[in-house]
Amino acid sequence: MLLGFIILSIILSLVIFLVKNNRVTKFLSSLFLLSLFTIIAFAYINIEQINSIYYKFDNLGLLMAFILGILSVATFYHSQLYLKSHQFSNKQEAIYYASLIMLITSMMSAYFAENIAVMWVSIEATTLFVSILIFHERSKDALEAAWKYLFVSSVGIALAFIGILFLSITASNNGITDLSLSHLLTISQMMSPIWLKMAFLLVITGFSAKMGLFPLHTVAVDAHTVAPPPISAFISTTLMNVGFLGIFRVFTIISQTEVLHWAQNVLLIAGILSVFMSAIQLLKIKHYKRMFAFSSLEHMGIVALGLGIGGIGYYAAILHIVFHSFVKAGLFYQIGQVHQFYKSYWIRDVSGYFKRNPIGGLAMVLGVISILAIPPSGLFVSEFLIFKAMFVAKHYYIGIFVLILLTVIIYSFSKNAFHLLYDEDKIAETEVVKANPYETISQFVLFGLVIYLGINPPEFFTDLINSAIAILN
Amino acid sequence: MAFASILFGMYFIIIHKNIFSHVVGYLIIENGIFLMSLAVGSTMPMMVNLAILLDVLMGVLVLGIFINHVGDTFKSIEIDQLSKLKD
Repeated sequence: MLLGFIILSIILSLVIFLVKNNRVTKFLSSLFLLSLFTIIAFAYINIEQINSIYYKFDNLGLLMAFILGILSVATFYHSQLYLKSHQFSNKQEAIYYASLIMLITSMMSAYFAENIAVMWVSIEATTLFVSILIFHERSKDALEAAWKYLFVSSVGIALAFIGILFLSITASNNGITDLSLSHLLTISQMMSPIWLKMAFLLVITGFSAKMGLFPLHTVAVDAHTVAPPPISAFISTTLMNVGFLGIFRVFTIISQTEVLHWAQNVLLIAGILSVFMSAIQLLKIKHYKRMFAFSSLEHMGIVALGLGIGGIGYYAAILHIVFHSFVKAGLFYQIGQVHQFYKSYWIRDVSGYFKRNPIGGLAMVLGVISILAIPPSGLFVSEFLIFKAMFVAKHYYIGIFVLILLTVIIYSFSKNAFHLLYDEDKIAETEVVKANPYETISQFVLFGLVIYLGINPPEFFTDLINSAIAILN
Repeated sequence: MAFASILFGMYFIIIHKNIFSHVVGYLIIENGIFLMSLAVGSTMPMMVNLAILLDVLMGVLVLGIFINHVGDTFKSIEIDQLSKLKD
């Protein structure tokens, strides 16, 4: 079934790419969204079952696929608005939609892959398609960012593949010759610790380019600067979830062995350094999309901290990554709308947005409150749980240090956000831009969803998270 | 041998200053990885191996297209040109 979905979307994107007709593109895109929802519903019915040999509808993958489904609708809607406001040629629009469809498909394939090598192939495929999308505006900056993203991610993912090979060396010593996750889990206790340690280091370094974690986070930040806003929303949410899943899969294997404690320390170091880097960079930030990108770095750091602490931290980390996906996507859609008014993302150019567009300004306020984890937001719940786990596990110094860094981040982030919203409008309005208030609905829905899920999580949602982390405890 | 290839590929990327050599370095790393997967003893199913090779091929193709674009826009393929994005 999943293989059928992949083949169908390859055909759809090829047709879109070859026909280059707007109406056909629209029709086929909606067909694709329909089939995406069908496959997610099918996965929910057949949960925990093997499908198409290399795939398995597991809990965590399903959770990520739900996020992907919701954000895909919003991204298609905002992509259409974005393409309409910029007037690209039909050919460019066709390339955009074709690679967007392939990007979503390869992400689905990465979420549900049961074989680690298949997961690796899918992650490499996401890199290729997203770099085409980053290059969409065809400017010099876009070229530079796309090149850096493609090259550094490819090399990083090659490193991750060496890590996977190390895993397979120690697995084949124990008689398992395929890299299927469930088989690896059964023999994890017999694997040799030294190979596991090297494998984990290489995998976390390699996939950090995708997840936007400390060592290779820079390429993702550069990509955000130039990518179209709907694509930025994808890079910093669903694509980061792909990287997270890659690290998480290897981490589940390691969590069964005595190397667990060591691996958690690695994650803690990566997490602290991520939050630290983001706090420093946010102090001298000059560009709104880069600001959001560094905020993603901070949140991924917190997720890594949650994984590194263990206990209730596992639950909180997954909760955090879900909420972060919704909030950050909403913020990127909104900054796309801001761009229609000011034609710029630089902080010096943009001010007084609330007066020009009150509804969009309201969405921005809500988004900033949510992303800074100020109470009604669900991110507050998950961050609170992570810090609780930290103090329960007696990591006092780490907890206090990260809390101080978070106050620095909140200061610099809200300073720039208030500048955007309430500062004096410096540039005279050259032409009156009217934003359609309906374009803001999707952002309100996303932020509302986060608040609702934080206060009153439905049972199937908590069940999904609990069964996803059941193997770790 | 495989390790030597991977390490040399990285060294190759670090010492060279134009993006074409970077891609060559990437290919050297990939070759090293392929050698290493042979040394491990073909543990992966045929389909997966094919998919990996296809993926690397696609990656190098796209990298090649981008090299052309960089050459056209910047009139050179030195990396000094690609340093505008920073804070």
